[in-house]
Amino acid sequence: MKKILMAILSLALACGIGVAAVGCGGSDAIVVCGREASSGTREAFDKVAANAAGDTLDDYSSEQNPDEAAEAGYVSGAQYFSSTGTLATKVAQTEGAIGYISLSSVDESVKALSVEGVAPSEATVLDGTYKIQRPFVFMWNKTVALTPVAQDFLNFLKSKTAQDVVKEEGGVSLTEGEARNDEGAIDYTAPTAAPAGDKKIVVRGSTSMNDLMDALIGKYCELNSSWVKESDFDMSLQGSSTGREAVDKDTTGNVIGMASSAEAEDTPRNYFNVALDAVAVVVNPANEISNITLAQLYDIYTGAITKWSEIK
Amino acid sequence: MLFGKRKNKASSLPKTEPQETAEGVVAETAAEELSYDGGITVKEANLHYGDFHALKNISIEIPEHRITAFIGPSGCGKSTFLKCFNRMNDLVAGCKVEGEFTIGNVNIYGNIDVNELRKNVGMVFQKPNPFPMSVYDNIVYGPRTFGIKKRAALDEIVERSLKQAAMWDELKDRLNKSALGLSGGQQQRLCIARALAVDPKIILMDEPTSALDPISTGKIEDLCMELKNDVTVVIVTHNMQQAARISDKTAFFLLGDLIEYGETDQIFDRPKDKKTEEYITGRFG
Amino acid sequence: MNRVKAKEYASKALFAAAAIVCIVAVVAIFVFIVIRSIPALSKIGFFNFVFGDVWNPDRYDEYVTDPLAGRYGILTMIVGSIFSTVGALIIGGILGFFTAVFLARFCGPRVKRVFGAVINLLAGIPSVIYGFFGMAVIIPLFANISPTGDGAGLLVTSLVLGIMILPTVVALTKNGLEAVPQELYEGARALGATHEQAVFKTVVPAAKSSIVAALILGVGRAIGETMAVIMIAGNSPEIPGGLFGSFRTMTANIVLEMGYAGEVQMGALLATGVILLVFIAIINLLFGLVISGGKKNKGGKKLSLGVTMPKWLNFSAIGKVVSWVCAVFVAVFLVLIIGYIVIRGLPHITGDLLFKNYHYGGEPALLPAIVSTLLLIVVSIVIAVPLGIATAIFLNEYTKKGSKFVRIIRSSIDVLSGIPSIVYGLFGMLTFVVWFGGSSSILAGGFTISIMLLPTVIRSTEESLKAVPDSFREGSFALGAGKVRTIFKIVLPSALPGILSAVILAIGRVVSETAPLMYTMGSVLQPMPDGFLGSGATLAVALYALAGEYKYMDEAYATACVLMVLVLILNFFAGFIGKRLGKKFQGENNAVRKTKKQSKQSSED
Repeated sequence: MKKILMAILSLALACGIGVAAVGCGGSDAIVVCGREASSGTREAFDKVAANAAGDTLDDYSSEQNPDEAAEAGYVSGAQYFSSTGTLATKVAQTEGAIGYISLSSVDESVKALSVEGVAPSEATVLDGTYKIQRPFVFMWNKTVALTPVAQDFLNFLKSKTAQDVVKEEGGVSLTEGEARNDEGAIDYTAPTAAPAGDKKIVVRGSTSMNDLMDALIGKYCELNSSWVKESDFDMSLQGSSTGREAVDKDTTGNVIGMASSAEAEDTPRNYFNVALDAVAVVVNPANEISNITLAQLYDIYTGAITKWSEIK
Repeated sequence: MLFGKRKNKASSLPKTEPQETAEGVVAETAAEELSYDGGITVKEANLHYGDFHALKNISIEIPEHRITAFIGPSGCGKSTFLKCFNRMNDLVAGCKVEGEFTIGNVNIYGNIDVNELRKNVGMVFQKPNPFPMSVYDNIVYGPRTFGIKKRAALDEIVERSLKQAAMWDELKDRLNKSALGLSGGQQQRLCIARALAVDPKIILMDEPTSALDPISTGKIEDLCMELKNDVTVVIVTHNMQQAARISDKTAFFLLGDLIEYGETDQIFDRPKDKKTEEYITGRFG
Repeated sequence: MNRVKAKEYASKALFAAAAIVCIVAVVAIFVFIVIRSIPALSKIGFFNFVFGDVWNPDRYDEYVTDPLAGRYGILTMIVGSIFSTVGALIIGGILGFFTAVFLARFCGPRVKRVFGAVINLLAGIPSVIYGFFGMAVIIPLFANISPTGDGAGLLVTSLVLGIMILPTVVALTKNGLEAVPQELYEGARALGATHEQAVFKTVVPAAKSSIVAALILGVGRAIGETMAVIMIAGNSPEIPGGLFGSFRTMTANIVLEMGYAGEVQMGALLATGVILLVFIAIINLLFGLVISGGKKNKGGKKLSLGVTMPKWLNFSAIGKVVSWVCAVFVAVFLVLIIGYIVIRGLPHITGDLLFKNYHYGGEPALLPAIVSTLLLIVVSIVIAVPLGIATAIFLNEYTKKGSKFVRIIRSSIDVLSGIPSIVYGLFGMLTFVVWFGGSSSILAGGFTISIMLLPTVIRSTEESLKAVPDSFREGSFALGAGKVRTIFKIVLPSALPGILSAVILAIGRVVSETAPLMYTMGSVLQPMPDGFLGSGATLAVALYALAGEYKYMDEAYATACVLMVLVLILNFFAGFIGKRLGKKFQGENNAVRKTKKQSKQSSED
């Protein structure tokens, strides 16, 4: 009896501590969320979000800020996440949060904002009116010849069949040569017999392209079921930068790299863009705001704007 | 399991002849003649723990098939001396033994097999230390160590040892029960039975009854009297009545010196040394 | 030499060889990170590195670059790590200590068993789950009282870390309290003390050294934790501004930037690992001091836990109430976190998810991950357990007690258990992955995890071996048994329950570990692994990958559920085996304790 009393008493106390935390209401402050520096999503976002003078967040983090106490990054106190999942969870759970994730990851738990009055969609990405976008890139080594199997797989990745998979996966298909940085999507016919040499294909790079690559490999295996095994693929994804590094270090010609941000013009790698992806600016569904400008984004991430009321 | 392969002497142990045993285990020390049968002879033994001189120049002859008691106050070195006879002191870091120790015709600090020595010189400790296994497994632990694997032979050893320790009737129905479920006194007698199972020539007892009640103590004393027909018993005790009751010879130690050694009656009735007299009359210690 | 002696020598050689392999492996990691970080340290300058408050690396910096374009100061991270660890120690230490007191002295056996088992379950939950729990449940709660409008930061990190160290703190403290001889308690009661007074004034002070040990091990765990922290700390490399400021810990820094780091940056990250090691070493040193201090205090000097209570306060009565409150608080927390996982995950566990093979492009399915997890457990246990046990045997049974050399080995093993797991991952990536054909494989992951497990397995086996009373060994030697027979027939069987629980804990760690496996075994959902040389994601990695793009959150929570069930099964299995062994060595624990106590007494007289 005494013990039961004791238990009830302590339960009340313990709950009391908990309830004390649930007190006063929300606040107007903006909770700035971003990705870690190696993220392709961040790279795409930082290169586009710019103030009136044309300074981008990318410039801000790499040049203007090095002597500030904060990291080469965003405003002091900003939060950094190591994956789309954690960032999206954060935004979904936090009323005042703002962040950016791949459009394909947006669901009803977060709200994608229009940027400069343009909502992100396949059409607005293709015609370029939605500004924060990035290509999905396939890369391979420039100096080492690809193995016959890797070459065949690359041909498949470049093909119209692959573009069908892109569409199925909800990506923005790219078939024209200029945007792809190659001669346009080609026709792929599966070889009648297994190409010579080792069959292993190494896939490294962006986690954002995980689903797409999964589907592409699935399709490729289906087309070449007579000689390809799923276990011939060695896929390990830790971000766009690791994809670039793996391609650069390739000595056997079997590495296909993936990056979810544009390759530089003077890139040391062969590449083509397989699809476009919009980077959606997301806020909590409870947030009333629906449109934002690039300059406002710049101000938010650099700390010039700290309250949602300053935007309305 | 690592010892399981020595089949040559597997079944010979229960009623083993000394020669056979020696042949089996100490094959390479050409030990046909080695025999632990006989008394213990110690000449000019010195023992140091690091800088501490624990035993000083001790010489003693312990006769066969007798009970010899070591008495003396705490810290006098009697337990330490006892442990020299089966070289348990080897396990103590920084312990150095000098002098000549002979058991039977074996120089036990010479080039011999220590395990064989310990098989022949069993030991019972102050605190009962049965292993955490069944009564049966406790007793056959030693024989199995020396290669006996046949169930029938082991059964025979268990019965013989338990009878020797006067526990067979108590325990024959509980052989597969854990030894740790026994009472303290039973545990200690089980340890004696366990020591007997390998057919030792000598049993060393290090204050075997100090943790026991008077009834259990009595049983163990009776047991000692029985045992001396088969083995030589050396017992360390704090209890002078016990020494007087059961021992044939008594040695009195003080601060690492052997003060007096003789027939028990003589030591207790007519001590030659004044310190002995003071101790046994209870003036110190 | 006869055969017995030959066997003795061969076994000793074998144990020594195992010890050498272990020590080499473990030292290799140490040397690896130190050597790799020296150029960076000398380039950056030790002072600038440790006391610089700007972390702004440039991935194009190389050792030949002059001057460096980036700034490499980790002071903010050092402060962040210290703050969050101290916070975790305060929260987890208080909760853990009082919960352990409650379990050991204020509750019935049934509550104790169930509650204890659930707390152990906490140890097997992957830290990613703690992270999501923190984000989804605690942070929104804290957001209400946060001046910044967001609950992330120091407070939530401390709380979550505090919860994460609970299993360690509770288990060790409870063991310590239970090892206090009953006579002490009875003596206090006989002098008229109440139950509470006897517990808090007599039993608790007597268990002081194990309580402190528990706290210090908890600190080690908190300072090395990564995956949960990077989800709730905010990760901005600045000194936390209050309880809700965004900050970054040293481990988070390593994980966040390891993937893409340039030459100098990588060196700086590894140097961060070295600084972490130094911290762990300092903690262990404190540990040693406390232990030896505890021994000195035996003489009856006043023992206090650093808390001096005014006389008019009835400390014991308050202690009892606090114990109840803490225990209930922990219970509520346990129900919350387990309930959270179950509610989010259970509805999404389907037959297809569990039992279908995964194919590229298909719906997520966990069968390959389950198989990979089991294969990884097999590999790592087959490697780490025999090696670890043999090493522990060598250290405990064959070396001289108090030998300086062994002491050094022991403390370096302790230090190595504090290396963040990501560093093991990096080491594995540069060694095992390369050895096994250049790509991630279960074997490479298994070797990496094995090295990671070794310190824990060695130390906990050693503790179990130490708990075997010397009287058993003496008894065996006195019967003429050699060392090898004594070890295999007497010492190991007696130590088995302890060793077994160490193995089960190790399996729990294999199951819940993420970071090192992503670099060595596979980081994405994959089809059925192609044997031990194939790659594959474990359940914990699959969980991370599924949650990674926010597309399969339901499946991720379902995976967490599956993982929890797996850990539960493992714990029950351990309990079952423990019971079976307990029956076999009936009453052994009591005997062990008794004999230990007695031998202590006898050594005093």
